[in-house]
Amino acid sequence: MPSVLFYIFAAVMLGFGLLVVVLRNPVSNALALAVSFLGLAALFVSLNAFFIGIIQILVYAGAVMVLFLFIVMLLDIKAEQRRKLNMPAVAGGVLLVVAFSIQLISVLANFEPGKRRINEVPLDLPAAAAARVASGAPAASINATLNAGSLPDVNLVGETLFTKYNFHLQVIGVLLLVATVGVIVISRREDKNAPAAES
Amino acid sequence: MITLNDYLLVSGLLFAIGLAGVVLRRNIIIIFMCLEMMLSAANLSLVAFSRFNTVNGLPDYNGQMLVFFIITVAAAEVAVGLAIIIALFRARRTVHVDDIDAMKH
Amino acid sequence: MPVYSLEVAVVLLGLVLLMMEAFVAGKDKRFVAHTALLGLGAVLVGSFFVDRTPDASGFWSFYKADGLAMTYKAIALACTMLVIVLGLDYIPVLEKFTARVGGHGAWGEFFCLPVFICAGMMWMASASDLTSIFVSLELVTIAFYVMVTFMRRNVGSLEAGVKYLILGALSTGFLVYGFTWLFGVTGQTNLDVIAAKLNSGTVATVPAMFSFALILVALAFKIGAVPLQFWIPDVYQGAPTPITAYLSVGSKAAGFIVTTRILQVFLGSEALVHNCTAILLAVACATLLVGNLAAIPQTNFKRLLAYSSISHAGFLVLALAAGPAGAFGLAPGQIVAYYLAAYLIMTLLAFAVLVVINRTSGSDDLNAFNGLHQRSPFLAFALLVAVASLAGVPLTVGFVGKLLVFAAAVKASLWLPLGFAIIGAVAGFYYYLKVLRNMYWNAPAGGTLPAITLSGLTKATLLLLIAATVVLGVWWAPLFQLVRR
Repeated sequence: MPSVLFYIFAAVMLGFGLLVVVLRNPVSNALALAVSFLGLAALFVSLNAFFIGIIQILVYAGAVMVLFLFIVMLLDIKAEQRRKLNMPAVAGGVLLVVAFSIQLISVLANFEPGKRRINEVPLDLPAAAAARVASGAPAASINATLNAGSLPDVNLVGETLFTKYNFHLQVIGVLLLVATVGVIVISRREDKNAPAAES
Repeated sequence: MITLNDYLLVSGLLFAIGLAGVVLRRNIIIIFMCLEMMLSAANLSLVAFSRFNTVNGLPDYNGQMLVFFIITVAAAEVAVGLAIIIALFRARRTVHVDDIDAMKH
Repeated sequence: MPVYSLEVAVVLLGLVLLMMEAFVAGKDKRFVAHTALLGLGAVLVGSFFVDRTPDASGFWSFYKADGLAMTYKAIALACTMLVIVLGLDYIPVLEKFTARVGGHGAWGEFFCLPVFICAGMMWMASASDLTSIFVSLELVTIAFYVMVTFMRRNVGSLEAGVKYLILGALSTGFLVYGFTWLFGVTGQTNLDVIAAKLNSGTVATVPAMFSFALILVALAFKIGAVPLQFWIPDVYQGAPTPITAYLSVGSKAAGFIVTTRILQVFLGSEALVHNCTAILLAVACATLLVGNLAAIPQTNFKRLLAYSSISHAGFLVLALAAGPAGAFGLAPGQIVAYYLAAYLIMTLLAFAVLVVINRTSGSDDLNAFNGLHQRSPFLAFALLVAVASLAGVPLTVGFVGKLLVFAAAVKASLWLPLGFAIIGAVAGFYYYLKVLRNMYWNAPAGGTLPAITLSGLTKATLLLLIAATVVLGVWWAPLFQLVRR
């Protein structure tokens, strides 16, 4: 990926991310977040992670953002009124973020492996196919695609997920069940004549 | 050309922007959006590391698996979190953190 | 039976309970809780007879079944069972504050979800890989978001839920970002391989320390240590009392097994051990100070237990920071397991009494304990044993736990943190024993209150916990055997 595209998408991601923090109308925040995640998805694709890039768009820009917008509109939340800022808290927050950023930059400045350029670490698809054949990995179609010189990203993700990571997949299944039950518990419809909540 | 550090820097900055939103904003829904941003920022670093730490000429898919699970968990967290926020709004008519003060201090 | 069938059995039990809750007719869902108790009890017994030898499959790089894992699985199961017993006593409050469906409160799921949380904690106990730590920890966290908010007609519970949600999600962000850097500098996800890699001297130390700090912040949320301890009093106060007990014991224990495993990685590395220990000691001292000093002015028993939970986290972090020597032949991880087993017994005893008081007086205030001695000498005695053990009076199980931590600190010559721990323990005597004054000497405000009657199950549980506190405080061997498996 040419450098200029990286800078464009990184700028989109960070710029709209910043808008999420500064805008006051929740609908604008949600849309800014969606655009920011589109930039992020493009960066994923630039790192040869096509599948992750696609689900970033499908899950975040598609499902999660729609959910956020739905809630904002359902609750009819107006733009925040300006309240008196709690100055010590704001100063503490800014200090925390500045400290984190300085820390991050000092870590990156001393991180030698990070100075590699992306074309210095090329993907070697025929070697990958050979290694797969040597280790006895069964999926012949993946090997054929690798030998043909294109990265079968989705197939490889799927293969890893359903073979090596099947334990985690089942734990995630339980997690999704618990989340579903939980959402129903918290938001199920009540009897009409039930009195209001008390403190 | 782009280096690994460039990716790590933009991802770290996105994390910092999210963190700033969490500590500075008072609207719970927006705080929640910023939390999603922090998780996604971590995902970008993970994918970058996975691309640059190649294994047999392929990206390290162990890192991308963690990304996959993070995205799933984040989606579940959003569903549960928004349900909780709606329940709070029904009871208190507010999504402002400063109004959450029923507990004695 | 292979060891991983324990979690499978617990998840299956949870599914059966959900089905029973949904499809068996009748308003009274107590049978769900009774089934859960029976099922979890069977798994607890089974956990002593499973086959723990790993085979060649790749599964064992994500899952570990060492003695420590088995101890924490037993803690998770026992804690879940006791929380369900507490929940049975708490039903009148649940009935009032859960959603009204068909003219009665809908609290059936209150006894299903803890079973899934238990499975998540058992997976956490065995997790030996960044990815398995992440998924199991999130299973527990997300289920707790729901449980804390369960009484959705109670504003306190809702607000506690929102606080827990936001700080929980924030800690998830830090955890993931810390894991990212750990994965980035080592290129591995398995903890043992990461430890070997960090020790090989080929890894940059500054990014590794960066990831250590991020992960420590996230784990501090789980275990209730500084700097992410400030949510504890409010969430503990607002959450349904059995869930407060669950957070205070189960969630903390599960957080500590993960902390133990991750710290083993960092403290095992020559290049990092010095800085990591310094950070941990600072965290331990600050936690001890915050927990104990803030507990002194509290007038609400639930908040008092919350600060006490923070101060115990301080003792536990101190034990982990004291280095590999340990004390009395126990490694630091085993001391923590011992302390947590003792903490489980005494904390759940205190919460069991609190649930009964809360049900009969509708208040968690210390004043609600006034004259408890006249109303129910048995309950007063149970709370006496619990607070004596929490304070660390000799001949109770809590004393042994504190003694192990102090011995480990002395062995490692950590004199300054030891001073903080002693100040904490002394402050503990003051605020725990304040409760006794209310029970035995203060007269109840509204004249004499009616005597309290207890159900058979509650009485048996209280007796069991009192006996465990006293007997294990004198006869140390059983718990030693348990943690040294």
